[in-house]
Amino acid sequence: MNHLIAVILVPFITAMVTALLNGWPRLEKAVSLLSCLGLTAYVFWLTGYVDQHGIQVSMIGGYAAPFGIAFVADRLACIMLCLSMGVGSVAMVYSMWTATTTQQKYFFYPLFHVVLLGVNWAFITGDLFNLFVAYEVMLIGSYGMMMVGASKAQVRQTMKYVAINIVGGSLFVVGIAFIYATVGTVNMADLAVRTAALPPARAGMVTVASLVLLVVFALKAAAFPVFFWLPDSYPVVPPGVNGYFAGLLTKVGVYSLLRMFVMVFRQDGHEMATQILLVMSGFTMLLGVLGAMCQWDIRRILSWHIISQVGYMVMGVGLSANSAIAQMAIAGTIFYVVHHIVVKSSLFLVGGIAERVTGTQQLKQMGGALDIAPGVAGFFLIAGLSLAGMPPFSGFMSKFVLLRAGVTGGNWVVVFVAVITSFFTLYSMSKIWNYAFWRERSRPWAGQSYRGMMVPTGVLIAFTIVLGLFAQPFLRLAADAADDVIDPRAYIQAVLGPGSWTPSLTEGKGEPGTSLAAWDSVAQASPGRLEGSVP
Amino acid sequence: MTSQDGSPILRMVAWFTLPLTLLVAGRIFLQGHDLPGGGFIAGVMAAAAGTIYLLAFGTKKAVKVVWWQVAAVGLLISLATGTVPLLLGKAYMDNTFLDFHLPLLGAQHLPTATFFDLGVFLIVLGTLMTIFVELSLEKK
Repeated sequence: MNHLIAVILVPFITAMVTALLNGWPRLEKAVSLLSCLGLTAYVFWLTGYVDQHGIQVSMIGGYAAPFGIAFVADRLACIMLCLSMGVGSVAMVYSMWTATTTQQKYFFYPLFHVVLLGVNWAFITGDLFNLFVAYEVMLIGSYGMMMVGASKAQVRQTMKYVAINIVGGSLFVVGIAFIYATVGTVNMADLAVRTAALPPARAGMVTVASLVLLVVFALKAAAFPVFFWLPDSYPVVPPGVNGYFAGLLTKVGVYSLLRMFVMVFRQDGHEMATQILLVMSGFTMLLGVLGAMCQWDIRRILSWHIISQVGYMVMGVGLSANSAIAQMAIAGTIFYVVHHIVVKSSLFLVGGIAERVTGTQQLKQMGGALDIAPGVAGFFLIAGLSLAGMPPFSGFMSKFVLLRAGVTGGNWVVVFVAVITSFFTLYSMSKIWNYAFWRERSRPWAGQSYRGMMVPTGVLIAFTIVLGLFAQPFLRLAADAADDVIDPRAYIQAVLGPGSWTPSLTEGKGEPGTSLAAWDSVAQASPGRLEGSVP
Repeated sequence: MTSQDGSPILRMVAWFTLPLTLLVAGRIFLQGHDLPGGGFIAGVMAAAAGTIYLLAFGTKKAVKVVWWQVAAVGLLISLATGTVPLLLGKAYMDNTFLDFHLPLLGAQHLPTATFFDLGVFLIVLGTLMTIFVELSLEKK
């Protein structure tokens, strides 16, 4: 499956082509649209293929694992890619209606494709250092995106965003360096094999390094206590892109947590990280929603809700420490990620339309959007109720699975916090509904057309209904994806080849001295793989 | 800055150093892969030649080239190089050697990575020249 690389190659080439086409906005739009829709079709096909035929791997340059860079498409990666490209296409179409001439002049479309490139890259890579590179590419795209237009507010917020992410990026490299020094590999499959076989004396070092990475991923996911950068920085991004940022960028952090802390780190005492995550998740949920409740700017409210929702997903990762409920918790997390990306993006897109219709972001000055744009109001109602977890929308199912896992595992405190948060979310959504849509109109209608933006938003809204009513096939896929992550044998064999299996992995604990033996088995398998004959 | 602003001594020196710098850049570019060198460092050297040119002869001609587009084309060349093995059914960025015979120069042994390096060369040159040209326009 060498054509796996298309998921990063296509946005990369499109970014360069649209950059060269700068000045011909029609051509730029046509190329962007073609590229996004084409790649969306590809990743959906890929998901079906991986679901049927198992994990697909591509080694860059033909160098064998664990020495070369692996691109791995397992179910989890495929689900994330579908979301990235699906929501990316929707946001792209939406942006074609909202992007101003200035934004187009300053490389709006190329930057968008660079963000897509970085996000897709983070999902497809099977190499820890490559994940860092993907983060940086994604961040560079998003820095550019925030600065498009270069207003005073944008420059001020982007400076903060850049500063916090430089700290995060540096910590990431430090963490990887620790891990490489201790374990001697950055290939994720190889890491899973070798951390499982580490003697307890050296496992502590990996735990420390993993906690450094935990800070980095939490920062990216905007989890407590490192969420403060998000509510300030997101409102300055153009509305269509904001939908994509809100949906995908923080979820790259959640995905990394899933990938590294559930699948990869298996050393003695790795449960410590998941315990920490469980505590963090409760605070993230509650503080996020409390932050949302005291805001009066529609985009800031929605931004605070991102934080609160990330708490639920982190909670799933935290619950996975208990092996009895691990599958349910991880499947719930994956389902929640799907639900959240779709709903949160559509909320931001609806918010963007409401802003356009009423001409303001301030909730207290909005009002009467129901009269002017009943369709938009309907969309908001569906998305808002879904976010709060009302049946029959997707939010209900996703919260249900997670809470069920929590109750089964006996984690009453975090379940209680999650339910309370859900109530507060409903309150916050009804606040937006009351002020922006339900109330009498207080200002003249800004009068900008919004019809073109309704179609892409409608696609996402339709999906949240489908996801809620016909959850079964999606839950099945999420459960299978969860199995792949919890028990990485298939992943490891797909990357390192058959015969690379070490029994110590099933026990989850290594005896002193087994680390060398584990490495030998990999090294013995490697030359055979290089020559193409499987031992 | 017009060409009259530069010092005549610098212009005289530039007449000799420019072709030399570019020659060395070309040599270093070609010796990459097997010896220290390659597209990145050659691009930096070519950009150094570019700065000498800017200092000695002014920006009049240099601004006519849209340098960031040079970088974009370079990136496309690099990406395209990786795509060729993909279309041949091999791994992305897989490489091989081209052995062929040139009149006068004799047998040639060319890694396909050279084309990738050419892209890198253009990216570095394009990016640095964008910065330098913008900086020298700043004075006006």
